Amino acid sequence: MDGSFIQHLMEFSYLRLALAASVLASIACGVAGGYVVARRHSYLVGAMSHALLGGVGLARYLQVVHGWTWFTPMLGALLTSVLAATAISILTTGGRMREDAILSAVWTLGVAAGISFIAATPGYAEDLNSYLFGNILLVSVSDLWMMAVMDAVILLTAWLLHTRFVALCFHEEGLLLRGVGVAWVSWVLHILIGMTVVVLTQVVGVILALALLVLPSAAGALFARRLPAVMLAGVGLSLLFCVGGLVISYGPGWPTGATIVELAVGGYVLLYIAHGACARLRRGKDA
Amino acid sequence: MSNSQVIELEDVCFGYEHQEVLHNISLTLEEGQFAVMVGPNGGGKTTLLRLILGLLAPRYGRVRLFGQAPVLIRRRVGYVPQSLHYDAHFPASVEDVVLMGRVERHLFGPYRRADRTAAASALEQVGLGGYGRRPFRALSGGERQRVLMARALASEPRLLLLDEPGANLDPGSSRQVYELLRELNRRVTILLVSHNLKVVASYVSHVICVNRTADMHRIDDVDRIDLAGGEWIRLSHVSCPVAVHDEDCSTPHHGAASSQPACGCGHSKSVGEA
Repeated sequence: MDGSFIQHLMEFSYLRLALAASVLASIACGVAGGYVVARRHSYLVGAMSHALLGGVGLARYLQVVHGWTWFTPMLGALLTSVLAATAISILTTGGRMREDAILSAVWTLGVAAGISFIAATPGYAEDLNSYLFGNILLVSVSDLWMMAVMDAVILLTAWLLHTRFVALCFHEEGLLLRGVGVAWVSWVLHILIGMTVVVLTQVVGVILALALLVLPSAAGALFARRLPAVMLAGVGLSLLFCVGGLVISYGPGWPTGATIVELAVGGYVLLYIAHGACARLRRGKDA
Repeated sequence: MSNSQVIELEDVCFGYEHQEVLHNISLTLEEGQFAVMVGPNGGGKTTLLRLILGLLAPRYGRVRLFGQAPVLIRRRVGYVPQSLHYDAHFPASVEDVVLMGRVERHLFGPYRRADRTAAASALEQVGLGGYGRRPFRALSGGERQRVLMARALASEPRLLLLDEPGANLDPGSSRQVYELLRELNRRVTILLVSHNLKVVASYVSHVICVNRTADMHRIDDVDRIDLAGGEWIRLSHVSCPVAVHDEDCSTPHHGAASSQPACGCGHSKSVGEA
């Protein structure tokens, strides 16, 4: 590890906050990522994360133009994620409407609303970047508290409803036939995923949250046999990518979010190749 | 054997868009019976199963499960689908899958010890004792089929519905499955779909010929079914009628829904393809 990074970690509290944010984000994305990967729901994550931009834009607009300082971008993002999850759940229930069309609409409407609000907000176009691409070095103590609360909610929900989530991901009709309301289980799962995206947005931003939610768990799923193991592997790998990206980008001053995602993609590809090699090796032994 | 009715269909019609799939079906399955549905592909067997489960609603007529609307009571049914549209790489152990048969028992939290005991015993029953910790994705097609049967059994059903339980199995394992079903039939009513009546004939008590219409026969009568004017197809050693309907569907049916002007099933004169 870079010597200067360790030194600066002791010196500067923003680096310690960034590390803590990495841990909190990794916990959320490992748990939610397990469900996303099991249900093959990546497109939903993409829609949900981009939709957040609308909420972030609204929050900045209200803060600057109307002086609602308490309406933080994270609060705006959280409200939007709940709204988007609810809309997607209602509209896709029963297969009345095409899911991909609805997700595309949510995806683009969020971005469009974000652009409109930011255009209407005087002087704040420049910090758009930190919402789009995240800036883990700007995480504040109050951000961390909010992330911790959301992590707690995510973990508690997952513990309480894990059996239903697993059954939903495995075979939706099977869950329906057991007399369980599939619509509300899937709604709660969508909200859980939305909250995770909000947490991740602090680290890698709206555009790149998808990578961190999907890749660590997808890599874990290559090796793990059960969903809880996939989640644990997802937490571990995500932590590796986040901290690794932070350390690597710190010295040269690269954009942290982008470095984290590049590391995640590289890690996924490496593990995928390793998985293939392991399978070939096993087959060779069996033959 | 008591006389309580497990499945009751009354004048049921069902169709998709412009095609009628099932026409005017009345059937009763009583407790303790073991019935097999046979008929040509596209004849409506799976549709009939889905109507019984309340996954589809009839256009006309009435479906009752244990005397109630299927959606209210279907958790008493153990359903074994023909194949799952599930992810082949889904990370779950065999036990995880079997436990899903008991997912509705607790509102919150993980499965309890009683659930695990029931899952282990269900796996024993299908001949997969000790398979609980294996990954589901590493099993053969036949083993997966039996795991899905165990999932249905773990729910302690009063009715078992199986869609082609022998489809992916070699002759030996399919015999095992039918022996198991005969054993289970002592306490559970069973309805299964099969395209091979020859294999199941020695196990079942009733045969339901489904081809747009449905007729139920006692297995002992199968070789002597009245030929009553229909066309016939051969299904191994028995024949199954392909119904030809000449009656006009626009005449109102009797029954509770008589306020409806017609049975609503349209296209009554098209004969299901044989």
